[in-house]
Amino acid sequence: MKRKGIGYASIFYGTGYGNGFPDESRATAELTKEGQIIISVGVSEVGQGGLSVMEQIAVETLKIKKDLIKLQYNNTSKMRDSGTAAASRQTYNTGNAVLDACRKLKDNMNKVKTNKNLENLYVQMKDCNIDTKTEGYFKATTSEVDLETGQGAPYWPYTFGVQKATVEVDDETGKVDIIEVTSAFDAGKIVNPITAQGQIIGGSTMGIGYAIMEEVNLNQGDIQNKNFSDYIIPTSKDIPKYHTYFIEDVEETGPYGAKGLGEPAMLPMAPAIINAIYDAIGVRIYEYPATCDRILLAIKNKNK
Amino acid sequence: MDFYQPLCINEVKDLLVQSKFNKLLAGGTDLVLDIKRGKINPEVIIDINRIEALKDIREDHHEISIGSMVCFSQLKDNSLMNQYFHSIVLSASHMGSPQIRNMATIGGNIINKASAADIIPCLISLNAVLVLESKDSIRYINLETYFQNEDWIRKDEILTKIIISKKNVLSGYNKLGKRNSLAIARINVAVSFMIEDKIIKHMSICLGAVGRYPFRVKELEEKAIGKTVDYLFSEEPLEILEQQVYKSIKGRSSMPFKKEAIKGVYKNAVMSSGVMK
Repeated sequence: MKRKGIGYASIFYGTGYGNGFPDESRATAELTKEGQIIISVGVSEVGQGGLSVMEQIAVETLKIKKDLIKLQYNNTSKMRDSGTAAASRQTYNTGNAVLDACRKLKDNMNKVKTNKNLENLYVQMKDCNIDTKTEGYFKATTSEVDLETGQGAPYWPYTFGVQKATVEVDDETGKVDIIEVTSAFDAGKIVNPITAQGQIIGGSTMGIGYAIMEEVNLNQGDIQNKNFSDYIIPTSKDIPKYHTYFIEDVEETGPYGAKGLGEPAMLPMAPAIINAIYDAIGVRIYEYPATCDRILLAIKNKNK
Repeated sequence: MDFYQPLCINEVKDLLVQSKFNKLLAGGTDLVLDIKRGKINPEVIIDINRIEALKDIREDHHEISIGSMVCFSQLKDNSLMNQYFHSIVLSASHMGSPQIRNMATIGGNIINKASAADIIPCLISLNAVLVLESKDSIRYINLETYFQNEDWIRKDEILTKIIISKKNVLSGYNKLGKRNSLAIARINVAVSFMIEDKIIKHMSICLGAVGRYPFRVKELEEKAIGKTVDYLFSEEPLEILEQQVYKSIKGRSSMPFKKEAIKGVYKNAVMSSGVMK
């Protein structure tokens, strides 16, 4: 029989490398003589939407038309280091570096009074010996935790989130169907609502795989399931309807109040599902993934 | 490697006799992988995709014959299948993904004789018969016997069609996989019934992925005759199934799970047949 259950889980997650580890981002903003503004930034686009976030921050700061700005990225001979696309740190850390570079360029541009276009502005700035190229820099302020006293500030900022999972468990086969997932996250001011929602959907789907499917099978250290034909991840038939809400509590130190979201998006999913399974059938699963094998045998043991 | 693309069945029969190590290419969803991975290296590939006669589903007075090159999408959408064989439709629609269903064929699924093949339990429970043709013979073999006697297709033969009698049966199917699509069956069960006034006149049940090949559970089939449909959900059938699975895969690490899960999959299969309505 199919039994329905609901589970919740919440997280808080410090973004950035943390614990005093040097966490630096750099960006350059340059007005060219052709009247274009080039933002050079080492943000790695891995599908998360990092590029559009950087571009949005630049446009917002410079207050000029989007098509006058060109983003230059991923070429290490042309730009300085922004650190890795990891630790959910690009929007907050690298976004702050872009903000810094653009503010400085904006200040320089404002030193010259002109109603004319950017090409003329460039000529005037050069005449007045004002820099047309500015460097932006951001370093996260964290400190190592003192293990004696427990004092320190290992991370800043923190992202908060809660997810609710509704599941159906077939108590005679152990099969779990995820019926609905609702997420609410505080990642500060959301820079791009569509890509942020995409982060939540992608993260939740990874969380579903983690909770009920994904498993590395080892035999004397050799991985037995090396292909996606036998390392099982969710397909479109395995995912539910997702509802996403953002609680946009502005983070004062973030670019326009933004914080990171990438990793937090997947964290509460698996425990929420495990809680929902418990709610449905009264059995606690202590080992990921909660496959039908584990669930059915756990039900069997409980009924003994 | 030589590649032939005959346009009629007789041409295939000739090619099968002529060449030594040949392979027929149907949907290719297994063959191409096997070649790529170096598991087999045939001298001759005979592509039978252009033989229209093998892609028909036909009805006459007593039976329906399904061409061996009918793909799963075709099975799923075919009106005769939907009218007579609900279990085949269920099985075909849960097999692989849309892309695989468009390529993979019923004939390929049978001849590759995977333990977890999707369609075989349905066909066995519907008492399907294979038609194997060669240059100088034609054989009709009951699919269950084909697996029981391991009386495999000969090198010079081609499976041309699968024949199922058009009796008025209720049939159902259920599959337990690791996910909802693109999954190999962990367990699958196909059932078919003839019911009169809530009394079971005939029952046929075939289990897949719980043994080397799919097999019927005769003990349960015999005990069910003459009982009301409520019997199907009583303790006895479940115990018989548990015992059968235990005996079949004793010693496998999946046995403790599968001997329990078989009961749930069986119940889902029975429910899907509409027999309880």
